[in-house]
Amino acid sequence: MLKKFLATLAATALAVGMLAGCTDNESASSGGSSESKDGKVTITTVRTLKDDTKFRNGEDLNNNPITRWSEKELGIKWKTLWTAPNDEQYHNKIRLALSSGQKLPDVFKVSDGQLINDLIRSGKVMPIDEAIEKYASPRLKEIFNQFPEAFYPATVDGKRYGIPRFSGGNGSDSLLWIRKDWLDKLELQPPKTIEDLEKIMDAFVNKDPDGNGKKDTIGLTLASKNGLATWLADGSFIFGAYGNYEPGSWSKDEDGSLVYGSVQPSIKKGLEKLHEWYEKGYLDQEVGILDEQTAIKSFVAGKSGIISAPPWASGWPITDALKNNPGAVVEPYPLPSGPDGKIGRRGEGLVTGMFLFSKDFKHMDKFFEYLDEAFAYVYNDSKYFKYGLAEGYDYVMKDGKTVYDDKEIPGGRLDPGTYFITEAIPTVPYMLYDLVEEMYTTKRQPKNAYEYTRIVSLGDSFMKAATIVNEQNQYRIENEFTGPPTKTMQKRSEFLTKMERETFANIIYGRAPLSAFDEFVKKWEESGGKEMTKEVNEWYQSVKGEK
Amino acid sequence: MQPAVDLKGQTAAVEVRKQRKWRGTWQLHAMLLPAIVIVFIFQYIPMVGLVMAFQDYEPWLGFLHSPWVGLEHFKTMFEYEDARQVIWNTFVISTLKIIFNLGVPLAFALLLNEIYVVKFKRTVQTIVYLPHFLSWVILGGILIDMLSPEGGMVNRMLSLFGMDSIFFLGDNDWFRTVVVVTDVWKECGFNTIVFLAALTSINPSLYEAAIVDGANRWQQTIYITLPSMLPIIIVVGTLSLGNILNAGFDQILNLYNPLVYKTGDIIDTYVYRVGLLNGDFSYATAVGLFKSIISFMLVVTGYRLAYKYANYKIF
Repeated sequence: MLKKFLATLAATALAVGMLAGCTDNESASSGGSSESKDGKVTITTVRTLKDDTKFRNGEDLNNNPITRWSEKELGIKWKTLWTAPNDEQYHNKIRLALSSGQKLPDVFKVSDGQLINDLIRSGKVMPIDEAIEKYASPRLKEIFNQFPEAFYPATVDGKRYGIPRFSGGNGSDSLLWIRKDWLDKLELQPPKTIEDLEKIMDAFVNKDPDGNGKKDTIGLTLASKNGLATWLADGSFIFGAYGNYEPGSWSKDEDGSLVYGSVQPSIKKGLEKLHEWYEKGYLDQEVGILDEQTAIKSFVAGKSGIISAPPWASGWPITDALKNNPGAVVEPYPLPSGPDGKIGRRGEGLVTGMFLFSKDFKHMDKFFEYLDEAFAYVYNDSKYFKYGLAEGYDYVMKDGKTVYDDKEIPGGRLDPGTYFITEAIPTVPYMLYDLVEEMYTTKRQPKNAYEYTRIVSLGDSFMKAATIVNEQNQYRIENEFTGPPTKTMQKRSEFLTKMERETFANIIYGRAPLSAFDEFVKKWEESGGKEMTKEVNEWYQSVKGEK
Repeated sequence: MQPAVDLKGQTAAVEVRKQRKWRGTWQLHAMLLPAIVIVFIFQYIPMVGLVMAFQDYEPWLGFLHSPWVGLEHFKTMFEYEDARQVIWNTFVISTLKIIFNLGVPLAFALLLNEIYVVKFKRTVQTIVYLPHFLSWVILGGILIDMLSPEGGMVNRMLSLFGMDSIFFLGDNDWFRTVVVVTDVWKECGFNTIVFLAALTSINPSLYEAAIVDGANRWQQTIYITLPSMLPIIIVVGTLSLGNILNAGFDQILNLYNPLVYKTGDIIDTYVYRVGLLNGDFSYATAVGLFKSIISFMLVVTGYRLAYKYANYKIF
């Protein structure tokens, strides 16, 4: 793998050398996107195409219901120049195009902060403040104004260069999933506080909840190899119960500046708890070497009673746990509070990538028109997509009624949303779970294929969990630093991260005393942490300076 | 009889012989050409990219325009707090691997050679070779399961003998052992085959003579088998010296974790974290280059030593 990586690097460098001579000529001849005689506009793009993106009847990214709709109704012809199966390869190809001086596509999404910064500094992508002002629809402007920080990853010197591709906002925020059958068997109430949780974990460990006569169960499934605040088997609620900081993320201090979570005193309290829990057998003995995928095994195997995971976990891995353990009941519960009533969880970032635009691109108006129409669908306000995106794909009409069921659609249900340039039906942060909460509390029927596919078809357990997560939105602790790695980070963050992981793991295992945390904090500051904090705040000031 | 003429005639004869040789074999040389071209394009030309190690590489500037920084990245490498630890770990793990990857297959080949049932011998040989084809990503998962302190296969066996369970992958005292043992288990099949091939090529008359002289099996092994195999052992050993700073990236990446950074973190995993995760390409290239230079020096040294002490030329 390393060899391949180095080879790629070398090849990149080689390509630079060979193409250096023709760079200048090429950019001169590029005409940008063209307008054909019939007034239709062609926009070129590139994207990742995951293996699970399905097409019907030999269609492809350049010919499918979405591109046909876009050409007919909006006069935009999309041309996907190339695709890559995953982000890593995709970013490598863009990087190669950048360093070899090839022409960039008109519109493309980048999610690597460093690469976004490189592209902007190369001068090959353009600032879009003016275009947003001139062409974005009122709806888009409203969304953009609601989440100004979503533009930060592509803001340089006060200019915005990218349009965010929003995440679900709280889509991968966690809550507790607990074995309800174990609670009932041991006559326990769901936890309200960390203290309650400890009692439950104690019972799960010592009172043989699975009734096999062996002491082989643990309280909480946790992944720690890649950091303690993560997307599955998440430990962030433990730290959130003691303060407003999460390990590994930069969050706002009381005075509004950004500080690094892992070095805050409240983290020490969280680690103390984790060590105590480890000693008492509440955690997996192997917790230190488990990543997200390996950690869930204890829960799936029915050896663990609690896991902190996002609402979508109701599909995977919880269905696996139910399948493996007949009689198991897993229910979602809100996160418990700490001794001072504090609750906190790792908040998912607002964006999953930024759309950048080649400096030769001339049709920003068209791009915004397209984006607005795509958003219209999720707001249930589209003149084109009333019941779904395309009949025969995500819905069919039967006896004058719309049917969304997988089995009723010939050839199975497909999601044409993946054909959008956003690679999925676009989302606005928090909107999906707001919608879930509304539908779950009012028990109303889905109005279109989006509501059916993304909400109702995922089941009651998902809807309940999403509602709980949405109700705890005020406890989100987000990583506010979304810029490219700073100078000191490039040099030092490898060492600092390693030291952090090592120290935390050793404290949890009791191989180092709790005071090792203070030494870590001191060393962190001395070895570049101070400079990093300064740089991060400089960045923060620069991006939020105006707008 | 004039010596000068004679000499001229001799040289001419050599020339002619050379030409004849070339005429008869040029086709063979031509067949070699594509391979040379491929090696040149894919192995030598990319080496130009090494200049990155002396620059502050910026992708959009390319290495023609990126600013030069001289040896700064190399300096950084040695100022890095953990550099000594990482280099030491790499050295220890790979040295152990080299020793055991020579010794175990050798012993195994000798034992296997004593077996007369050909079918059994072949089967064992194949089975031992099989793990070589498994990737560490898969093996990593399997090993985590097998070595688990909670009901893992190995620990259950240990508990049968009344021993406490051991947290193999999370214990600094055990991690290197696990790395070396699993690597030998995975890779020993390949060298076994090489050694078996060398064993079959030993002239049987040597053994006959030894038997006549009254040597027993053990003495035959010591005085005939091993000396006859020495050249091949030296070749395999010298070639593996080049890997002294490759402690097995795929393997470590899939097995290591924060609990064993102290004994398990190696140069390659360090470069991976710096280069890929932090995007510091220049620095990663500098470390890679440093590694290559050390490996190259060791291979040359190994070659010289083999020539001097075993009077054996590999190339």
